[in-house]
Amino acid sequence: MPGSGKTEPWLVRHPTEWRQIGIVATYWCFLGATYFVPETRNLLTFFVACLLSFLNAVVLHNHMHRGIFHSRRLNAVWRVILSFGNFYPASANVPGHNLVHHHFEDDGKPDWVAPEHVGFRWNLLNLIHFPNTVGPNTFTGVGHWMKHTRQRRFIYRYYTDLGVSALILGVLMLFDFWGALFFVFLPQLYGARGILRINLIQHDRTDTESEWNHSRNFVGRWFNWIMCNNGYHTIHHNRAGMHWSELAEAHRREVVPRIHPSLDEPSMAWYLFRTYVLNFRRPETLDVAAAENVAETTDLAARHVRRAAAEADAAAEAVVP
Amino acid sequence: MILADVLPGLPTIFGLGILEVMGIIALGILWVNMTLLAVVAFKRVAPCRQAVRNMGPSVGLGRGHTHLRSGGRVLLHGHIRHGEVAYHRVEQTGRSAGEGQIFFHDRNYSGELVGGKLEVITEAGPIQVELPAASEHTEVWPDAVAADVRAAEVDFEAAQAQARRASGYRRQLRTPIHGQVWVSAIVAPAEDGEVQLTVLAPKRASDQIVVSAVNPKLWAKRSTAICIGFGSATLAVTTGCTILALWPPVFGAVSTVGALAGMAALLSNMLFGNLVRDAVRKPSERLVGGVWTQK
Repeated sequence: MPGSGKTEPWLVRHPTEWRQIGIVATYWCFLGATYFVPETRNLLTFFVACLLSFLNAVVLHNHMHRGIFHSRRLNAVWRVILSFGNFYPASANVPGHNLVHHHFEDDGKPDWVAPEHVGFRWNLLNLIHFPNTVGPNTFTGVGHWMKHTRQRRFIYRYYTDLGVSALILGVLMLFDFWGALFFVFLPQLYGARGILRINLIQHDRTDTESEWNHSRNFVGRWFNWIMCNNGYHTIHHNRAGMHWSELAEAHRREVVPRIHPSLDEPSMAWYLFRTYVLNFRRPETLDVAAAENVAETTDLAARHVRRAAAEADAAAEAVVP
Repeated sequence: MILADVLPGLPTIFGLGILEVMGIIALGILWVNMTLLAVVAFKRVAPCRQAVRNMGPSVGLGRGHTHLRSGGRVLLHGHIRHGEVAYHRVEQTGRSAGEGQIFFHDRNYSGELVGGKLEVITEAGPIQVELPAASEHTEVWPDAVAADVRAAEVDFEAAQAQARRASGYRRQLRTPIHGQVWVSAIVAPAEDGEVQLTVLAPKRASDQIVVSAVNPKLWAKRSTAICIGFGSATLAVTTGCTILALWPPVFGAVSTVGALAGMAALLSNMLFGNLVRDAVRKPSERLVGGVWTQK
């Protein structure tokens, strides 16, 4: 930035983006090793690849909010790389996540990934089944959105993401079908389904009509390091344009005074174990929004203003070539 | 489980190679998810049947009679001779990127009973049932909603300009119910005893009146057939894929076809599961959507 006294980092828009690049590079190393070197195939490498695939989906989510490179062309290439990592078009996140999920049901249209799409009494089944119903909701919805908006660039990008991913997987399967199925496709599927499940984990039994209690946060320090601060979900919804590296501080400053303690979980692993393994039934709904009514007001813009800003951001990202 | 497959260098326990172990995991993923999709479809049967069972015993077309005196809930099948008896309403928001089209999505469904006289033929002969006007605790099941219905006075250009804004263009689709109808309600004798009856105006949820242009029993049968058909087909396809995947020699050509079929079945069946969900929605909440194209 000329005259500001600060130099912009090389290649990326924020220095912390190298962490995201490192995560994806590690994931590709695991995929490559288990595919090309059969001696490395074991359950441990498979499980690590699954976890890295989920992190790939986290990076994909961040990238589709704000491209990580200065270069638009690099951002487009990175989007295709991330798409292959989860075998779904990253571009689908723009309508599916940025434009629909971030608004919940404010515009009267159902959220494609709302927790209400599952209703088993045994709560663990809700977690397992959730992607089976919200996945097709999302892709059907994205299809309608493409038909309605007719953004040729978006449609081109969507099918490029999908086509390149399918082509690479197809080639890998042609040369080693079982290696590609077990050590590439299954991890891809795990990550894609995992990022859908996170919608249930972060919003089930919250109040999506409230300003500060619509999301569950996971605030563990190491967890958020590896998850690129995706544990801080309330502030991400309320200030969608904020860079992920700033979310922790903003969470402490704005969310903590206004959130019900049950929505500020120290550990995701413990929450999952407690909610889906130790408890058979789905938890009761609490009046979580009461916490924000007694707190001081903030400069947070009204929801329709935030929605318009998110749409503008999405439109800006949509012109990436 | 084999330790050598968890960590290299550890001993094998069951003598399975890593590919066999992964095959078991893959089949487990297929079966768990396909079974859940089937179970969800089977679970949809009971609410459909219960909804119709709650409508009460059928009276009409020369059948049924004695229930009417009891003041209990009955499902009347008859004719409205004059005008409309009810309206089904869908509130929609339309969005457009220009180019002469507005795409609609549903926001809310409601029903309104405007009142009228229903002629029903019971075992004992024709009777007349007076239907009240009501907007609360009323459910209206249309046969079909015409998605291209629009107010003639609305100019497309003005609607499209509104549809391009964040709030979108709002419209209401109104479907009248007349002619042959089914009415589920609590009836009571009027002045002429069993020849003139009246439907009580609903004051609470348990008094709900359902007015339908489709035969509710046929709807329940169709929904049941769709759900059971889908659930059974899902389990049959999964079994077929499993047999193929395990066809000796495992990991041979037939086995590969089975694995590919399993992948395709899982990915496509998630979509079919949602299609089934939408197909068996109550007619009062059936998805309408629609596109308004400039002419």
